[in-house]
Amino acid sequence: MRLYSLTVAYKGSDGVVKQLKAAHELSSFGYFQRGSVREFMDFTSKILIERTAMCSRSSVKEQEYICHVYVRQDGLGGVVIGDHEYQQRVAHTLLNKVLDEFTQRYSSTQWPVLKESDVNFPQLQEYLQKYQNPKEADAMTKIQTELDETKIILHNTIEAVLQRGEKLDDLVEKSEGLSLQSKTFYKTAKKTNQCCIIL
Amino acid sequence: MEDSRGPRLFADLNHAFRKDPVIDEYDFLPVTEPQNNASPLLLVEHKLGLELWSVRLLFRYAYNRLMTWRDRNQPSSFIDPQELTNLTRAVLLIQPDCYTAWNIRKELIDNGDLSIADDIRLGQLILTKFPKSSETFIHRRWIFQRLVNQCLSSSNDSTASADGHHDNGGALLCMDGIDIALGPDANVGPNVNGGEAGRRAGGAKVNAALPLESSRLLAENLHRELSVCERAADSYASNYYAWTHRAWVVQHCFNCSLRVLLGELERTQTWTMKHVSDHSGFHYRQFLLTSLSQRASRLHRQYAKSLSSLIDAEHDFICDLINSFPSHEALWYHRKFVFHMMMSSSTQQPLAEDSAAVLNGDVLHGAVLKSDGQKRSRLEHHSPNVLKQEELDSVRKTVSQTKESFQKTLAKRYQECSSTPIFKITFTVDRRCTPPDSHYDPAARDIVRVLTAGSLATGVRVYLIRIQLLDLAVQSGVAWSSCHQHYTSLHPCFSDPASGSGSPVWGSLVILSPALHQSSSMFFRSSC
Amino acid sequence: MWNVLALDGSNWQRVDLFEFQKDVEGPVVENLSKRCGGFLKSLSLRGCQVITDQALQIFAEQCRNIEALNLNNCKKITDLTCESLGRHSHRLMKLDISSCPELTDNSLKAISTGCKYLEHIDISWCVNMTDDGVDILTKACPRIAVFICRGLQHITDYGIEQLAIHCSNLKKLNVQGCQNVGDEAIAAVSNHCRGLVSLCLSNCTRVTDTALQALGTGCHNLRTLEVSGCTHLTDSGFQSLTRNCHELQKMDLEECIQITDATLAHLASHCHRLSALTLSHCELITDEGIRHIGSSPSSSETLTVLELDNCPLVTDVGLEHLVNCTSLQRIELYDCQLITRAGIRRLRNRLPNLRVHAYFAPVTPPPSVGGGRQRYCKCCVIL
Repeated sequence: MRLYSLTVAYKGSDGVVKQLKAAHELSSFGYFQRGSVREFMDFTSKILIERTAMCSRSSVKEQEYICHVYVRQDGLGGVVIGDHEYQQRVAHTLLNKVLDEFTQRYSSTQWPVLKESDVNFPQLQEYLQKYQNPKEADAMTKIQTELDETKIILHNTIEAVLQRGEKLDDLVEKSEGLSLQSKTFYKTAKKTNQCCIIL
Repeated sequence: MEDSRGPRLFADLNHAFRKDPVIDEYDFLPVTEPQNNASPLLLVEHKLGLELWSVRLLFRYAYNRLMTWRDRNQPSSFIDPQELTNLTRAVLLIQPDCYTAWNIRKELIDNGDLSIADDIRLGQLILTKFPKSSETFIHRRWIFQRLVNQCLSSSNDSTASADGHHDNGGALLCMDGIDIALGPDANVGPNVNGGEAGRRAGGAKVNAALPLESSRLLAENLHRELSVCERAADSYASNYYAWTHRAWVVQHCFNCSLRVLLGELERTQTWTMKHVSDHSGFHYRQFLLTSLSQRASRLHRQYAKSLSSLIDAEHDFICDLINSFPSHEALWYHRKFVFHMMMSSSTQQPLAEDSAAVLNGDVLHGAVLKSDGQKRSRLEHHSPNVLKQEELDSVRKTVSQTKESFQKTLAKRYQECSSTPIFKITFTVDRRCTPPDSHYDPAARDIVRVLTAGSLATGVRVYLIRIQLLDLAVQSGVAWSSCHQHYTSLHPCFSDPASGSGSPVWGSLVILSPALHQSSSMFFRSSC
Repeated sequence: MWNVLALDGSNWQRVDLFEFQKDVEGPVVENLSKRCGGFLKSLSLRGCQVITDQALQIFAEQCRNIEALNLNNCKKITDLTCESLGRHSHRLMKLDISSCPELTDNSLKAISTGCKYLEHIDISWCVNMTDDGVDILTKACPRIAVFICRGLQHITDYGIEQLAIHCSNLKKLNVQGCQNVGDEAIAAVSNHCRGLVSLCLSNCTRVTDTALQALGTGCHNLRTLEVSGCTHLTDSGFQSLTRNCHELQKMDLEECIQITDATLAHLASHCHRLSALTLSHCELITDEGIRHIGSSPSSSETLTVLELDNCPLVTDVGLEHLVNCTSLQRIELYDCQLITRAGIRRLRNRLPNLRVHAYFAPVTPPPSVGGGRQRYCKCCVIL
């Protein structure tokens, strides 16, 4: 039961998505993988918010990970990436909480002009740590019950979220947020039989 | 022509380990061809990275040299022990399942050319990259067995007179001694009492007699080994290799010392809470509980703890988890195990009860406990029937209240199972006895298929199977059919499982295989 | 017929059991000794780790005409073996007892009593041996020309001085890794052993320029000098050395971190027979130094090996200076990070037979080895 990343982003009326703040907890990954994993989590969060309609929620499964996405009516969106054990209900409750607090810190008029480097929102990292703990997560679900889980759209892969004609491989190739190393990492990881690649 | 880069990469690797002997993690970096004329080995913060293109070259070089040297059919050039140590290290870091390399290291240890501490460190490092490497675990068992034997062989004489009051002779006394020597960093439960202090004194005396070097190594490494297993289990889901190894360490190195069993029970609680869908951790707890149940009277004598209070606590723990984290199958399986244990430890003679009795060969010993229990737990107050009713009520509540459909399904399934008699059959398939060419999994499936079909004689090529059914243990070499006859006579409903009439409920069929390629537990049932 | 020949000990003058090291046990050596008797001249038991004193005592008694004996890595033997060698093997000329950690000064003492004709001795890694043993041995064996004692911390300047005084015929001396051997020892060697041809001082970290000056004064015939890891050496030391030692052929200067292009200039102008030069980890070397090497008279005729790995300042321009080294067979360029694929390609175009060692894939990739694959990759067997 793990949470890996928590992202807040702004989706403008033109559909362009800008990351406002992201927190990561990647200690369970290998030292040398963390950089790439982080880039991929940011990349995934961005494309998911881009492809999620305003005022809707979804949970997208990708291998053993699940990305929970929520984009509000006002364009503020959040993504939390966890493992398959992490409860969907807790993740979405956490997103509500984080987006509410972010709105208190920065008003909606600021969002279009905010730069990620200027955003001061340490709560994001704190929440990511705090809700790693299943006990905390459990407590939260007991307090907040207003979430309507039936409205969460479920997808089995990221590919399923993409628009017609879009391919994840192409998006990865085109992405500017991913370093060359991360792209190679993606290609090698895609070949399932890893030991044969090496030898 | 040999690629000249092989020797250089090998030298680079050795240099990295000379420069930093405490490298604690390594990985292959996704760089498929050299970017510039720089070494593909990266060393930062005790982490070693190898660019992918170099891994293959390095492996080929080290492996070919090692195998040419090893090939007894052709004359080979002399390789000094240090070089061999380095070559095997290079091979194993890349392909840890190369048992020839591990065997060469065993020989190096036997000859005194390789320090056990270094070898243990290498295995630990490999498990950070390959947490599921079975050969690595097998090799580690060899090392620890060797350390334990060294400790035992030289201390047996001195302890022979003192071990009268222990049920397991000198070995047990000795291992308890080691356990106590580790006291300060051991994960001890809160119930250490006066009896413990008495043991402590005795243990320390014994410990002084052990050969210094090997007992020190053993002491240093045993508890670390438990952490190594935990880390491996953490980095790969359902890592039965790691848990099986951990159970082996507890059994063979700690000799199931109660102190360690209780410590482990406490320690793995956090782990299982964080991995609610991973049955492997719960399986380990089941091992701990079963081991504790076999030593229930000592548990009571030395820790003033009753087995039933432990089972009770485990039941509360698992029910809590089920409520907090709905829809995880593993949790329900564990609950079933705990419930069986509850039933059998509250029942003197499970067979004499009505049709709702729970039969479980593994935990029969637990029943003994009841006679000398003073602080009676809930479990001990109630008869099996009352307990069972309580359990069924609680599950019924879950069924009616839960909103999650899968949770409901699981609860219903559990309800049906616990209202009918359960037989638990445990097969232990010895690795040496499985045909070398067949993987374990098909064999396991075969057993299941054959059992359900009722034709026990065909299709199974397992030569040595230990069956525990009720308190019946049929040992080595007994043919399947005779086992079958044996329990057919015991319980008529076994006679023809396939036909609808009087066929038994195959409540849970757990197939376990320590140290095998695959360990799977299966669960299925049919109506009575 | 072969059987008869094989049984006739006189056909067994040289026996090397090295290839069978893993299996050779005591009885094999005992039988061999009995069969060959006085005919056996040369025996190698290198790496035969299970051989014990008993077998070698029988051997020494039986094979009294032995001239060359190699016991490298026979870890179990003790001083007893050397005592029987001293008693019986009076014709012994060449003895290698390196990596036999049980042996002590008593072994050297025993050998000194019987083996007067000893010319070649290797006592490397016999960690218990000290100056005293060397003193006694060299007094008794004045013919010693080759003396190898790598990795012995108890050998100091005094021991080597005694060697130099008693064995003035010394041709080859190897004291690699003897951390307590320094300038005084080398001064004595230069004084007494004028015929010295080969000297290895690698990892004798106390050695300074004074030693190089002494060598320049005394040992004009020096052909091989290995001083890798002697970090105190500087350009001025090599200047005095090269002015006088014109015969130098092989120089290992790995990790002489203070030397600069100046040393290369001296080498180029004085040592015209240079054939192998190692400059690994000499981090101050630049293209200018390479230019000196490339334009020296020796470069096109004799220079065959040049090792420049981990010289971070060397660039493709440096490689251009080497195009006239037509005899060059191998060049090491690992971790010279400024060297590019293109630079290597240009060099190889000019010197097609040159083997260039760098991290880049060789121009003609070796054919991938098929067939053997399943041996090391379990999962590929299945697929």
